[in-house]
Amino acid sequence: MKLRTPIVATLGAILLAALLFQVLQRQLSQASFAFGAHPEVLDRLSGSLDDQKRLAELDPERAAEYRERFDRIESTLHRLQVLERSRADLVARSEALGLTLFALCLLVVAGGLVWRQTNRERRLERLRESLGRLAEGRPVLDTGESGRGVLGRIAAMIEETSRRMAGDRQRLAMLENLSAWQEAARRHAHEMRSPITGLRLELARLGNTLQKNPRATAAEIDEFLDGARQELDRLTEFTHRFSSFARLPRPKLQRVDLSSLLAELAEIYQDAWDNLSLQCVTSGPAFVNIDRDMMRQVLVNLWDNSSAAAAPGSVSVTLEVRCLDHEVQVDVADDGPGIAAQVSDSLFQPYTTTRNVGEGMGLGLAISKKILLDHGGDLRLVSSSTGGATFQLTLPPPEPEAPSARSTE
Amino acid sequence: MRPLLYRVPPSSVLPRRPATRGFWGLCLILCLGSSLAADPPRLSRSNEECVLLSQLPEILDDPEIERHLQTGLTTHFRFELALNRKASLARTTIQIRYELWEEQFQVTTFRTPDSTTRRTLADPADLRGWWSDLEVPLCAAALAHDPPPALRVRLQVVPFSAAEQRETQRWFAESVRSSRTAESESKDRLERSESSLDRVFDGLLSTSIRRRPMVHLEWTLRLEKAPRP
Repeated sequence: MKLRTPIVATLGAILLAALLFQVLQRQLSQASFAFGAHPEVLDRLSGSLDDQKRLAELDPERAAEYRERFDRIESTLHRLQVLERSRADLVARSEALGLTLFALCLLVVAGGLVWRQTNRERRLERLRESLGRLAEGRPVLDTGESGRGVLGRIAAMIEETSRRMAGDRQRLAMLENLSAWQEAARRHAHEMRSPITGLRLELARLGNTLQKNPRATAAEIDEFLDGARQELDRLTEFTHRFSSFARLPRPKLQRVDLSSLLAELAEIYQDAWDNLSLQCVTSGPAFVNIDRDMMRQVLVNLWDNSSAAAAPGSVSVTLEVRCLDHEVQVDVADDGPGIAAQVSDSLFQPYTTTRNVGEGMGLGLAISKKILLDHGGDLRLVSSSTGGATFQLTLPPPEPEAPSARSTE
Repeated sequence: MRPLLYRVPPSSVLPRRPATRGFWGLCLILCLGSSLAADPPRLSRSNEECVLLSQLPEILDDPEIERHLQTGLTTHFRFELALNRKASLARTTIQIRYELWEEQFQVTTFRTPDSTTRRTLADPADLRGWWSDLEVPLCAAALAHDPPPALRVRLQVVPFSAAEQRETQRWFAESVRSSRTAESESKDRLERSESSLDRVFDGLLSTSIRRRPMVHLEWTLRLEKAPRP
């Protein structure tokens, strides 16, 4: 808070006002104290003393009375004479008192102004912080500002805006949630409808066959049952995938050289897809704490997506490991058809897929991102073009104090 | 021997304002100094522990002091013997009060609290004569053995006594208070009651009525063996 300028200005104003006050006061106080011991008053009192003495001489019977009067007048005269002798001190003291009082008043006023300015700065700072929180999307239910005036009204507006934003955010989240549930319901209904329809058809065919030919052979019946079993297998596969997404376990971390792991996996899965070839580029060991199986699941999922996107054409996938100060990065780049821009925004959301209906649930990338997030890292699409897609996996570096393997619950 | 210093301490001898008054006061002191410079008092040994200050400057001839003596206020002439500027060896006070009714001067000398002498002088001429013959005794045990060859002597003329100071302070405070009460007679009862702040101000103002020396003279005098005839 820049208080130096107002404080200096206020002190300067106080000094100037005190100086003017002192000049004015001096003019007034000199005159007022001069009245008290005016020479004429002293002369009159002295004359009165002489009168009392003369009266006592003229009227000796009342001499005591005149003497008493004389003493009283003498006493008053002496007080005034002492006052006259001390007049300069009295004037100086009264001026000092007046100036002190005036300076105190000014100081109180200045203190009040400084306090008010400080208070206003503090309130403004609170409002600035509240606005900053609001700009970051964080709720500001109470700015801590309850005063009246412009700042109080601004604070009330900030709180009201925050409340409305919170309400809108809640409604939006609810709508998104509903939308996700609708999408999930649509996907589930679709995934379940096909095998159920197939199963119903197989059962209808079996019924028709048994109606026409009650003595159908076991071989003929098994033909229908095989069809029904296939549909049931599809249902089982669906529920398996769905439950694996719903109950994704926590990673069991262990210290692993990621370069070696990637090279090993690339060699193992080199022939897993007919149209996909794998290359691994490493520059030395890159130790990270990861769950090996989960990392394998992520990579297999990415490679499977590359293969499916490029089919029936072939695709080449390159793995490149980089060790940075704050993280370890793995780029998984293919030279396939890339990912359309309209899909890339929602690529990691569940049930997002570019495959044909029935060929995939769109859970793979969502599961992969969740695995990386559980590792303290992330999975991002860093480039997507007709020249291919590049996914980047980031993982935190292992802590130097804990070189041995550890696991989380 | 020339007086070491005829001075008016800036904050104690002369009123500070108005400036013209200070100027004239300074002129008075300078005139006194120049008139007395040629004839400083003499300091001679009286007995083992006492010295006598004699041939005092004729400050009673000064018009202002002469006028002041006739006001009837109790004027104090404080004589002080010292080794240096601060430490005081001995002190003698002479109090002169002009009785306005009797029209005579009452002179009291206080050498020690137990040693007080009084005398009455009829008129200013007697007073001046008494002053010119005055020998002020200044006694201190330190003078008994190997006294220093030169001593400082101070003379302060204080215009009124401590009792007159107290009485005037009381009277002043009461006057201010009674005028304030009279002003607030028509006002609310709460306002009429005197606040502690008023009392503080009254006290501060009335205590500025203080005894300040009218004249302050100071010499460094050589101690003579015996008083001159």
